Amino acid sequence: MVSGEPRLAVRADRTRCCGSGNCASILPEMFDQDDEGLVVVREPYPDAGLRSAVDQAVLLCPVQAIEASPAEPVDARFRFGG
Amino acid sequence: MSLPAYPMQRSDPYGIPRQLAELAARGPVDRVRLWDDSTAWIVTGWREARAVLADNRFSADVGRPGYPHLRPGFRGSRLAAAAGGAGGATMLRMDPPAHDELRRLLTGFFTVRRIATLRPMVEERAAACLDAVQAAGPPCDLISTLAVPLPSLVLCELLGVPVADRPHFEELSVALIDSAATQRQLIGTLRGLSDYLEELVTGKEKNPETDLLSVLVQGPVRDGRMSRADLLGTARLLLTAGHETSASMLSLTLATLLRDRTAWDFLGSAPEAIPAAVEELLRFHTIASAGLSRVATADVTVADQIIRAGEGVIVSVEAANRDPAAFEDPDRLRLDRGARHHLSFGYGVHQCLGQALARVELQVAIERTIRRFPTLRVAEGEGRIEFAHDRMIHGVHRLEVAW
Repeated sequence: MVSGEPRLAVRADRTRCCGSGNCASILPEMFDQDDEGLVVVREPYPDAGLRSAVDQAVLLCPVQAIEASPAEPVDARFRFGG
Repeated sequence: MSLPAYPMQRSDPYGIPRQLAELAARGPVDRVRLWDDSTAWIVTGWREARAVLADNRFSADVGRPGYPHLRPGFRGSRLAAAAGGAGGATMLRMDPPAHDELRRLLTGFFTVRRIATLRPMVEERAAACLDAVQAAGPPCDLISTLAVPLPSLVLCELLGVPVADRPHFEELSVALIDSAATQRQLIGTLRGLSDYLEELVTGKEKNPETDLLSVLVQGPVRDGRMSRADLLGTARLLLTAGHETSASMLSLTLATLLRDRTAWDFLGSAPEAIPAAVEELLRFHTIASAGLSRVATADVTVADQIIRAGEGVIVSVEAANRDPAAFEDPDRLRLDRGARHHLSFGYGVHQCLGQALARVELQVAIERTIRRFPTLRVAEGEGRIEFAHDRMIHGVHRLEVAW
């Protein structure tokens, strides 16, 4: 992770997932499906530049299993904390 | 004022029924009258359609009182009981958690990656179909040589169904979606399917291979996670849901692309644009023209309307897919629209399990057909295209082409 760049935090609820595969289809670098077809988040803290693609995955998920929010600025903490 | 009758008559194969469009223009939620004079809510707005389909307080169980039945012949529980065996409920008509448990035994077969590995097989079957087109014409009917056999051959491979059985199960799946079928006819059709699948599954139990049904027989059925009745229902669902739907969508796609030379030539010169074009064609044609039916199990407010527990709801996905609030200039086919948020595969827990496969079939069929027959056109003369307005799934009966 490059220090200081804004990141997103992406979570997927596998208990909700119905294996539609929309996320893995539009953003394979971020989402995958396990052998049972359930969502696996490959990159939980993607670059904020992926925001619109991630939003699309959130929108398309038929069971609202994906959530995305700005990540906590962990790098800033390191900077200030020395 | 009396309520409009539903389903509504389609006059333009490239548009939604005029009356439905008028209803949708009045607001996202309205009421319609069904064949038996019962009434149901109809949802035509995109946002509201998603809200209903994602809300588990709306049940997909046809046996529940209040479920809106669209054809005289189709009264769920009585019909299923009469048909027996594979005539029972499929997960399409189940609610969570039973639905989710069953679906999870199948999702692994339909992941995006797994379906991608089937692409060479789909390409091979498409090539064989196009060989048949070449041999038969011109002129040649593209529905019976390509649109119907391709999804059916792919399903045979996936499920482990002998290709020789195709005419039999194709006939039965067509009979199942006939809008005019009486209850007696539907029971006969379901019994026929049930007997056929019983025999098929028994064969898999004796001599398992590597196909989906064999894997289910050796895994979840053997260890008790899937009942034999659920296996039979699942076999029926996969065989019928994966067949007529893809065939109809491919038929309409071919008719549409041949109608507009620019589109045909564009996709021929830019095959990388085909996946986006497929999404737009899925939106534009929304083959599930009868809509998706549900019954409320609690009082739910949708767009300021209170839908009471026990009331039927029909989600018109074809109207929702033309909602101007979700799709700009929705009546125009724009192959580069890039909108994938259409509801053609449904929404919520029941969203199409085979959508990745449907996409691959459509993409491959378009690409291979244009490549093989760049000058393909609708044959000259009257009656070369006959649309199917007499089915629960919108489609095409005949499309005669020349090259």
